[in-house]
Amino acid sequence: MASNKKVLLKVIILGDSSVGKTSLMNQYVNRKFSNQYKATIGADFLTKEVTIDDRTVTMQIWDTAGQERFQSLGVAFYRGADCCVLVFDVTAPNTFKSLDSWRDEFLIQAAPREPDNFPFVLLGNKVDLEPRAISAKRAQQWCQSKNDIPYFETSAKEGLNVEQAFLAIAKNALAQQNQTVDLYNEFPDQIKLTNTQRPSNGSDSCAC
Amino acid sequence: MISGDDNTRHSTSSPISTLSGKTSTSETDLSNSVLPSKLASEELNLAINKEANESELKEAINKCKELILENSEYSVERKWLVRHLIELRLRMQEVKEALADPEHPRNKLSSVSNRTIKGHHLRLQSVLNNSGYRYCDQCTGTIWSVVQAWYMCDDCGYVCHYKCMSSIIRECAHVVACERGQYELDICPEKGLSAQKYSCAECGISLVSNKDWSEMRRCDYTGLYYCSACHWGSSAIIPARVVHNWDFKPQPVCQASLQILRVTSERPLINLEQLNPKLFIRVQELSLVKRLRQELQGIRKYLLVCRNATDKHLLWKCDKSHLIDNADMYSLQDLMDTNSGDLPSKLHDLEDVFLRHIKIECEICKGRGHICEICRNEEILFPFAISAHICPECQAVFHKQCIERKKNSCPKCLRIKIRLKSQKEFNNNINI
Repeated sequence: MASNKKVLLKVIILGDSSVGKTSLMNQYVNRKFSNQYKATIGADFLTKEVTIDDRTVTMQIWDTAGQERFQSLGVAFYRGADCCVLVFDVTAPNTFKSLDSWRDEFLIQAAPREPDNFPFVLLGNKVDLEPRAISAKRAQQWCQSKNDIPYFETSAKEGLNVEQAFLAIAKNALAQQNQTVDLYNEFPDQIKLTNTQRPSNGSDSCAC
Repeated sequence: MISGDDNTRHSTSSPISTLSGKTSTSETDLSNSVLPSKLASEELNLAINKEANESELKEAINKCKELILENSEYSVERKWLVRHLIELRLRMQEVKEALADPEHPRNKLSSVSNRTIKGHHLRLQSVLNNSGYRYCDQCTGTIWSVVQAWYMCDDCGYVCHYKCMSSIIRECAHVVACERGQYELDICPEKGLSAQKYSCAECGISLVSNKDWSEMRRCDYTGLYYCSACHWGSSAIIPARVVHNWDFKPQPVCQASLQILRVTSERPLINLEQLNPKLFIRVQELSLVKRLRQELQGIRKYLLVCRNATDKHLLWKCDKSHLIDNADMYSLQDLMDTNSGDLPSKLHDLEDVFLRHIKIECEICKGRGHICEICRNEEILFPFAISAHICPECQAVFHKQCIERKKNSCPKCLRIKIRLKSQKEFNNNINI
């Protein structure tokens, strides 16, 4: 793959409502945190330029609505995702339990080429809060059962581990994209069926 | 078409003398703009004079609120008080603005320049405002703007001489229209002259008296008879005739009706779906407008939550917001534009602009579309498209054809069901 080509990595953040998806994104992109809760409607994205192994890539981070009533808008943006970030709240057990359905729904809607190898990253957020309901061990066990998903414990409020987590996300996303591109490049001498040089004025080219 | 302007209006018609001879329609009931007699004792507390300052107004507003609660619902007193309260609040606003801004017109003009009478907000007109030939709505005489002081209502356009202000009978069309909230929807609801006691429905002058010559004229909107001073033979399109018969032929109306129809022409007051649903089948343009408005409703939901659309003020591109805020309410002007074919093309253009944003220009809106998980076609499907089916249970969106192929069973609902079931089993196992 040509390294001078502009690379756009599409990352989707999923998880139950109020686990801190928007806060994590804001902490990472803007280095800002607010204690005030504001439900996300539908989905929205922010972009950030990052350098990975001397290459500058643009991350397009899609933040989504966790609340069901704000999910009526579609999820067409799942398509073409390079990495999916699952978030739960370490102090709220229910948010951990619904990880499976978030993952399943994502795989069905996004329909990646290789669902088993699609890169996910799990973030256990709000580690600054007590008491913990989900131990690191339990989260890691879940990750192992899902083809060794990387796991990070973060705090969007304190900015703890956020940078590292998103770097890992970016690396995984980039690896996924390179893989997909390699897949397409298996046959380097492609024959393009859509010949754009053909004159468009169809009436002139008519034989009769 | 003005006649009878040489006929000066019955000069003795003061509000009190007309009360008895008048057949009252609720719109032109005179009793509610004069201070009701029961409230006379409170007169001093209600800041009826124009020069009240801020604290006096504040007190008067509180007093007015108290009195509203003391008086029974639908009573004459209460109606008067509610109107007065609105008036007081407007004045309060004006006083505040005048305090903050030394350039405010209130600080420059004497108190004579603005008057509130019968709901009209009458403003003294400049000598230089001599655009067109005007007739006094009260005495029907010509207004010679260079030599005569004259006033115009900011809200309804009522005009009169300075000398005629004290004898104004007609209530402000804006107030009447707001209080009534809807049109007269019976076609020319005529009661007959005897029910009107043979007198003009507005000013109460006898229509059969031998002393004064007067011609009786029927207003097609109210169905009542008027003298030639109150009915100048103007004509207007009648909402009831449009709603029931799709008939846009102008009919003769009295001046009060004309002013009401004029101030309300752009207001979405007609729920056509409720009043005459069959019209949508009969009139092709109307069914087209209905379909376009329903689509715009769905499109609007996307634009409302899109920050790019907000930045571009996209929803403001529609100068008549009710057309996209809801799908059912029409203004009289909308129906006229539908009949002329202007409205369908206008809505088409609007839809094109909105769809270009959602489907092509805006990354966020595109992302918020759906992909039909049955056919897995890459093309983004939006819930407002005609080909889309929205699952009533889980709101997932599929192609209509696809879901029919699946015998209307939603795959997402099925997954949710299975998940709930396995969750339950899991919980039961733990309990055992």
